[in-house]
Amino acid sequence: MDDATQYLVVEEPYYRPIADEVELFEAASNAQMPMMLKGPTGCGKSRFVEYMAWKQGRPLITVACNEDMTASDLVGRFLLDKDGTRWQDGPLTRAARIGAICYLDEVVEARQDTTVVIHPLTDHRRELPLDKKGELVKAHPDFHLVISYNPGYQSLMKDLKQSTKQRFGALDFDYPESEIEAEIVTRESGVDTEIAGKLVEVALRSRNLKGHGLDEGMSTRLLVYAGQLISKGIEPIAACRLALVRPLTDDPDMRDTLDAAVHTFFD
Amino acid sequence: MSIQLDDYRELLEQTAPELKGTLDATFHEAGRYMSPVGLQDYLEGARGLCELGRGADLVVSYIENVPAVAKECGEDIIRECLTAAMKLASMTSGEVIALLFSSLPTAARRLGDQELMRGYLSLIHRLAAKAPRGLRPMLGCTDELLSKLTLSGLRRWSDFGADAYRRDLPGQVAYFGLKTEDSRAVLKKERSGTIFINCQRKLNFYLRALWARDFFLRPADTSHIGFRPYLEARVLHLPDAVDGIIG
Repeated sequence: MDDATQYLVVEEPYYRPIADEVELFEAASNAQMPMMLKGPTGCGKSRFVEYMAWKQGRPLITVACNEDMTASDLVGRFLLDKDGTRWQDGPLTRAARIGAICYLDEVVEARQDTTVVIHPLTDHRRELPLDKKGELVKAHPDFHLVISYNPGYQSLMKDLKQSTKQRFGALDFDYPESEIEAEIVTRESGVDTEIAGKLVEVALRSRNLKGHGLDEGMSTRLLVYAGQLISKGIEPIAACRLALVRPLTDDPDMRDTLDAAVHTFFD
Repeated sequence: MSIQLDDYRELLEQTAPELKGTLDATFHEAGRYMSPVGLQDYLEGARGLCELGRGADLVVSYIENVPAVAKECGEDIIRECLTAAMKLASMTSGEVIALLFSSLPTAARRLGDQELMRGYLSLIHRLAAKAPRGLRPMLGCTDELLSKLTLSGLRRWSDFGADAYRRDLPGQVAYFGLKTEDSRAVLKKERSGTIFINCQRKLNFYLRALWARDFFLRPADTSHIGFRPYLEARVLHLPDAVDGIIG
């Protein structure tokens, strides 16, 4: 049996609840309902999962999904070492055995023939067949499957099948209201409320451009990066250029526009 | 209303056999930007150009270039382009008309407005009358001219050349081909300030970022004195170029 303690979240992560997402997640967890967290990048989905893992005292195993991921990467495989062949559990199997929260981050990045491997764990069966090993793993009662999903990245090629989507309850996440977002930026970066407020104003202007030249506006995560630079003594305009504008786009007209937004609030 | 390409195919491919491999794809592409009425105008125009009997080049050039013009300026411009071509047919060769059609996508992108496109077509017709030898070389330099001049600037540049080389036919060819010193000097002089079309995309981004909504901006010909920006039918009409602020 794996040592589950290595996956425990020991220190309380900072998470600022926005609505009733904590209560809803807890209820879903108690009902053993798999959960889907939907929202743009950098809005707090992963932080929320980490917080809930700490709050519930459950181990957390996170998997960053990608298109090269195979079912074996999730479930496990036989490895060859000096002692011969041995079975190595994948993160999904490990989580099912020890009663962890298994968090599949950006699940839509994985191929659909990979994600279907989670199906037996997400319905009444709550089991995971290890075909290559000839074992049927019954999920621990505390096992909870959580996935994150950015609706903005949907396409015909990269979307979850309905047969997968309809195994989950869903919570919508978004960037918080300005005051709350400024509070988060202040807390996470160490800048004062006034500067945090200005960073949020810049972000709001960028989010108006989503779908009109930008795939996504500036995330709360980027605002925290900018705030951290400012609190380390970097001049605000330079910090914003580095952390907010340059990562977002290479389009010269768009960069000019975002730089102008930065100058509007920091000149 | 259903537009059938097959009703026109035989005539078009007979006049311009090189269209055989591309006609379907071009028509399909045109259908993305034009309504059935626009498509009808487009094909009827092609039929008219075939029956003009001025060769295949202008038919091919029309077929290939007009959809891009309709995309930038709206399909109503198709009839204006055809009228301009028909007017030129009695004044110049089929090859020059083909060059006109080839220049239209660039003109449509740089001018960005139906009214200004009408002005451009009118300028071409005027030049054909005043300095006919200059038309072909000028159409060959459209990219460079329209990247630097507004319509009014182009008008002044071409008027200068037409007046200066009224009786000097080789001089017309050289001037309008940007081969003479005065041609480049007048071009430089007419390059005024900031051209709207160069900033339009950025302006749209700025306005969208600030106001979270789209604004419809159009350049307007400012050659008449006393032009002021105005709002009409929810479109903001701005100068096609503005000079720098002094001081």
